[in-house]
Amino acid sequence: MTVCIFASSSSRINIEYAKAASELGTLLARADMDVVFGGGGIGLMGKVADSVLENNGRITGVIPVFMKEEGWDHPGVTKMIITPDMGERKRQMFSLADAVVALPGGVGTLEELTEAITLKQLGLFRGSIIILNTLNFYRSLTEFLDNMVEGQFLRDEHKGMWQIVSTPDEVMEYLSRNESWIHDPRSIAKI
Amino acid sequence: MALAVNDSNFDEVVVKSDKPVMVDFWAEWCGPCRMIAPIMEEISNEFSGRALVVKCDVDNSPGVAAKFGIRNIPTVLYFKEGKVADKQVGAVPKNNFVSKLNALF
Repeated sequence: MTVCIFASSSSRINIEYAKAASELGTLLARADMDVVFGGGGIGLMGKVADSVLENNGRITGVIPVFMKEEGWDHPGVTKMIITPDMGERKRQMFSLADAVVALPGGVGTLEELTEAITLKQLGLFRGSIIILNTLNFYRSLTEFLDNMVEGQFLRDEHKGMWQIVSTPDEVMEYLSRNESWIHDPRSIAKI
Repeated sequence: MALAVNDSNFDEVVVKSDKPVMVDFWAEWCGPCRMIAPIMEEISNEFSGRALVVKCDVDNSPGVAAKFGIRNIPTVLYFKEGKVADKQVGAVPKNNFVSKLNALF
C-alpha cells in the first residue's frame, strides 16, 4: 500500500508537529508501507522522510524541477521523481497513492488536501483521506467544511470522504481498514 | 526504437559502444518518464547509426541504477567512450536533450 503525505515545509513551527510527523514516518516504515511525498528536505516533509529512512522504510519524493534546482529536495530519499511543474507533481502523487494523509501545513498542503477531497467527490480518487489534526490545527477547517454542509454546498454524506484523527496511531488504524469510497460518484456529485 | 538495457547487458551495450549513448533511466510508475519516452524514440530515430538511445528501467536494474547513483527519475546519462560525459535530470524539452547529445560529436 502506498500512502501519500501532504505536509508543511516550514521549520519554524511548534515542535509537537515535528514529533507527530516523525512518529508517523516511523509507524509507516514499520508497517512496511510505501510512502510518497512532495520531496522536500525541511519542515514536516523532511521529518516524515527522515523517520521513514531511519527505520529502513521506502519513500519516494515527487518534486518540480525548479524546487530541485533551488536545492529544496530531500537528499536521501529512496527515489525522487522530477516533474516539470506543480500540477504534474500533484498528478504524479495521486497516481501513486492508495491513501492520503494531510499533516498540518500551509496553503500548499491545504490545496493538496482539498484537491484530494474534490477528486474523491468526483470518483477520481477512491482511497482514504486522513487529516492528522495535531494540536487541533485543523479545527477551523472542519468548521468551514461543516458550514459548507449546513449551507448545502456539500452533501452531508460527503463528510464521510475524510477522517479527522488526533494521533499517528489513529492514522495507522484507519490505513489498516483501507476503506475505499463506494458511493457512485456521478450521483453524489449532483447537488 | 530505444533498446532496453539492464544489469546484465549494460556494459556490453553502453560501456563498450563505439558511438555516443543516451541512457534514459525510467520507471513504469513515473509520469514524467512517460512524458519523455516519445522524445527518446524520436531522438533514437533521428540519430540512427550515429548514436545509441537506450532505456533502463530502474526497478529491473538495481545494479546499474546504484552504480551510477540514479535516485532522480527521469535521468538521462550521456556516455562517450564508455564514460559518463553529461547528464540531464527531469523532463525537459527535446532541444535540451538533443543539444547535449550533439556536444558529444
